[in-house]
Amino acid sequence: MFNYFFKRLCSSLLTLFIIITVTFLLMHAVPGGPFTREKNIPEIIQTNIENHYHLNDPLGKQYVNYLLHLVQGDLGPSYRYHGVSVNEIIGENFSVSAQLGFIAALIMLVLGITAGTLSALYYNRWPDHLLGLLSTLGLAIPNFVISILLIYFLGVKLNWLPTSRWISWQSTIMPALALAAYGSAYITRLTRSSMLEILSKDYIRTCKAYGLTTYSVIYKHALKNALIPVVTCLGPMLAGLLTGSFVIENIFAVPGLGQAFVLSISNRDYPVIMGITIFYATLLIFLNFLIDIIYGMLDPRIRMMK
Amino acid sequence: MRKNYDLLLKFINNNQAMYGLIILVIIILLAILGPMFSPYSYSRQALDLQGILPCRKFWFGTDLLGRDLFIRVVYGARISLAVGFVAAFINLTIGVLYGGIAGLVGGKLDALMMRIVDIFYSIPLVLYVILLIVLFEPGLTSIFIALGLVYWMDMARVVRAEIMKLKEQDFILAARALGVSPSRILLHHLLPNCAGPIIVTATLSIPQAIFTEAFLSFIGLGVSAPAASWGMLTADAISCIWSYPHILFFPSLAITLTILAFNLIGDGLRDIFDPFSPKVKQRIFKI
Amino acid sequence: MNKKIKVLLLIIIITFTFLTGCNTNDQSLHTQNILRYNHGEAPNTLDPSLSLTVGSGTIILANYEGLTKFDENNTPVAGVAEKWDISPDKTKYTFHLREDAKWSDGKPVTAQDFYYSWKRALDPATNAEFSYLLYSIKNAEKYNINQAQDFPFEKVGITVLDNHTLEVELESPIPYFLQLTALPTFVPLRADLIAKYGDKWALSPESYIGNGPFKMTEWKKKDMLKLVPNEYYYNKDQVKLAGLEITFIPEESTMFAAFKAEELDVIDSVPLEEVAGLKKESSEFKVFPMIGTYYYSFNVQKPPFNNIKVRKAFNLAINRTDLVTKVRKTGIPASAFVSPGVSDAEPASDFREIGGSFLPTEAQPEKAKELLAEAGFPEGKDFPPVTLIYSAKNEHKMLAEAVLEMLKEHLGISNITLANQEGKVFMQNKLTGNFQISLSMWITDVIDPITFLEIYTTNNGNNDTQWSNGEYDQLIKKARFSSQEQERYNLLHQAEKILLDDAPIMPLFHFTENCMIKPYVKNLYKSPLGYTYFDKVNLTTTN
Repeated sequence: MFNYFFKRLCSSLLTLFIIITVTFLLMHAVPGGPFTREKNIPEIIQTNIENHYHLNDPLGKQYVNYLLHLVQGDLGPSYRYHGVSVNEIIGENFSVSAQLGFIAALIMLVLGITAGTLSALYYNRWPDHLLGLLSTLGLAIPNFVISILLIYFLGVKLNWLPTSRWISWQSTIMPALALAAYGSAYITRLTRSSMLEILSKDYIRTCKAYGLTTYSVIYKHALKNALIPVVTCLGPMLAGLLTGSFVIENIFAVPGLGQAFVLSISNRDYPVIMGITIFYATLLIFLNFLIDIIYGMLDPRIRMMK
Repeated sequence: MRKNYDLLLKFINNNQAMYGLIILVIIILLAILGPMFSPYSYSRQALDLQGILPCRKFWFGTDLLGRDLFIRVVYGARISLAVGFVAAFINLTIGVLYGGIAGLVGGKLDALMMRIVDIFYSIPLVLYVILLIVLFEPGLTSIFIALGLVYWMDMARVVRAEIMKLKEQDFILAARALGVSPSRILLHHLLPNCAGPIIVTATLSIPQAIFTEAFLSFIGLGVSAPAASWGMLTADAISCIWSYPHILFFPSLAITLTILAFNLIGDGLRDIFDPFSPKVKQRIFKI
Repeated sequence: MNKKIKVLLLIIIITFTFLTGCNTNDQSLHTQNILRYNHGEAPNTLDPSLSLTVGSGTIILANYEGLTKFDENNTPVAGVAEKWDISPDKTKYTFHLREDAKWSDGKPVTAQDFYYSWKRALDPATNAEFSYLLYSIKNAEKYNINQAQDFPFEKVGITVLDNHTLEVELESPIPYFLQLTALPTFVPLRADLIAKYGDKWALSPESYIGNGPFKMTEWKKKDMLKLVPNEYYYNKDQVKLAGLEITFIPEESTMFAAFKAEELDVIDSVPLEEVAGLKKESSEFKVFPMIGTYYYSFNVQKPPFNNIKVRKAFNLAINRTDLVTKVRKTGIPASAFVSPGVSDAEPASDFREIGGSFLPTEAQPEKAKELLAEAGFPEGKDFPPVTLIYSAKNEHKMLAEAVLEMLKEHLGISNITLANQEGKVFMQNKLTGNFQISLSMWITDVIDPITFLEIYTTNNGNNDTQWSNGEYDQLIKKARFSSQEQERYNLLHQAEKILLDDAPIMPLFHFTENCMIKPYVKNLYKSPLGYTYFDKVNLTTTN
């Protein structure tokens, strides 16, 4: 057991190190720097500022410097937001994105699994067709179109919900719905097909033959097995939800990590780019690990220790 | 031969795959032949004919520079479908070969190659796509390159898993014993036998690529004007929802239909290739 | 099983009924006399010395007040300085500060606060990017660029005569110095607070103490900022608002939706798609003039734009009226470089009117074709491939597409490509001259023709065209050191004529700012420099 964790930890650290290196190089290869401005400022001032942040040092030195700070847990200051550290930016923005992601994940799982199960139970009857249509739409409409439609209808025409921002529980609904749309549709389809497969298995027929109620067949026997493929795809999906989506955060003016990430790229805010990348990668690695464990619990046949 | 014929028959009998295929064929035909039906060019402007609603002269109406929206959607189809098919092609080449080699060779090389895929799975791909496009300057080619460099891992994993299953089977062992070269085993014996999952994965990677391109257009890194992909047409039109909803509606509809078609085909193919699927229908548990 | 579906439907219906009427998103704030203004993307800093954008300037000027401030006619009037004396050669200003000017914590505003603030902005260690705005002060540039930091600050022309008197010596007799002192970079700052809180002083209400009409009470970083009137402001009776909420919704279509849903009272950017309809129907839609020019720059070092005739032909092939009325829907067609709204030597005269127009507002295809033929490209034949670069934004793209069509139609040139470039890549290419034609925008810091014209002097950092003209440089230099107003403006008019005759640029139109303002918002002042002032705003719903 310990061996397994240790191996996993080592390989995770190696993965992180490679990601850091590649991101660092790629980021510096892109034209334009953090202090390239629309209006030109006197060259000497620009150089002065760049020197202040050690941007004119050789790249290797900057890289080593960054790593040295990183091992102390210091992600550096933001070049754009004066007096704000990257740790603070990630802290503030991630808490918003995580809330949004959590609500979206909840919507996604509840909606997806319910709809998928219903679809399977009503195989080839109208609820199946209706849910099939809805889930196809969820998969096929670009998220910015879904967002603007929600704002237009629920926010302005019906005036049921606030159009934007992150201020009250009502204002979380529309962005969460928009964020969950694709995932719910995906999970609906996944649950449906794996449920169909399970329902055709002998042991389900046996259960039924023993006179168990529909409810107990579905909830106690079928669902647990049908959820295995859902769990496998959940890792990257959850990480995506938790770190937010730029499009949705931007349209709904949600001050989350996705927005901060894309903005940091367009501002060439190097420490923020690096910080969020490392954070995101760590989260993904951790989630994948967690999923492996859950996977093992759902299906004892899959041994996680090789 | 017999097997292929069976598959074809199954495909035709599979309703959803057929619907998907019909929609897709219509869209592709429109993309190729559409300009023949229209007297307009995708860049020609008529500043006095702005935002006209769909009518007999302009089937989809006009945009805010007075350009015919139908012809713009038709040309947009070419770009968006090109993005989709290039992504599928990359999956079919890089992804399949990568997964195939890893699966066939196994051992240390396999571990290393899968390690690399794991690394790719742990990075925010959005970042790499954006950085690569900025690095190569926005445009169709850089979109191809960026998509190609980052979106092949799913395929690699699928192919590797299939090959691992197949390679211990008798016919492969026999081929090995006869001294058939590994590359020939891979290309002639292994890959054809995992054609099902490969085709399904490739089909389903197309919608993903079209969406990624739409996202890039949304953040201003799309193809260069006056050409426009569907993603670009849609992203530019989100403010049109108030006064000119048709400018938003038609490109969105085009994206939605296309992705719907690919999903239907992909699902249909999965049913066909999955040997369990016919049984599902007979033995389904009814409430 | 049908029962279950019914239950599900019921749940859905209940949820939505519950949601109905739940939209309590502060829709009634304006009746409490609180104005909700959307600022767009959140500011990178509110530190007056470090702020970069006009947008954060608006917030800074709500919190701070300089020696002078702009009135509704955009002329600088007394701010913290009650009155001032100007020496006959116009290079020495003595400001007399009012005794009742106070910080929002009750402490008096003194001349030392200004001295400290300006010194801080010029200190190389502060890394203020806008420090060059202070370069009109004597020796300020020398101090600022001196990296060794051995140039004594005492030599810079800023002297505190006593607590309420500040003397400033200038490099040259610039006539717009009183405008500069009204800008965010020139406001006073509190040395004690900055020393105490360091880098973070401008981030929280406790340490962000200003001397302006409002004070910050809450700042949710990327969401919104709350301000209330400053009870120590010397002119506090004039401030009618009970509070001010500045939100940071970045997307244009979203802020428009929020405005329509009564969640905002003022937005100052409106989706282009809406403008035509709103102009006709909405009384809430307002257009404010701005001082700035939207134009394309030619790189005169690169063929074919090293040929003046090609540049002139391009200039004549554009239908500027169409661009303004049919594409962008608002704006003023450009007839020269300096935008209208800049005054001339005589009071109430306009530099643009006196200078006249150099460019046709309608296209002149015949003349343009003739010039192009003389340049060796009759009917656009053999014209080399040209790329026009612009930064990724829908508006720029639409304008570029329209210009492209005009060039195609009027000159027969069809091998111009548009290249949409990512923001920083675009800036980098412009600064290094790596382009053929490029989008350019110039919005000035102060209202004076020289701030437009001096960018095209040789070696000016903003002269992206690589154009250089000795006579032009001389004229600008003379104008800079002239203390005789009439002569100064004459020199500038001559310079502008040279610039447009040589045509390294292709002016398209002058900016306007499109806003949506709820009818109950009165006395909101939008300055043509882009700042918004709230100190006199009155919400009529409360009466």
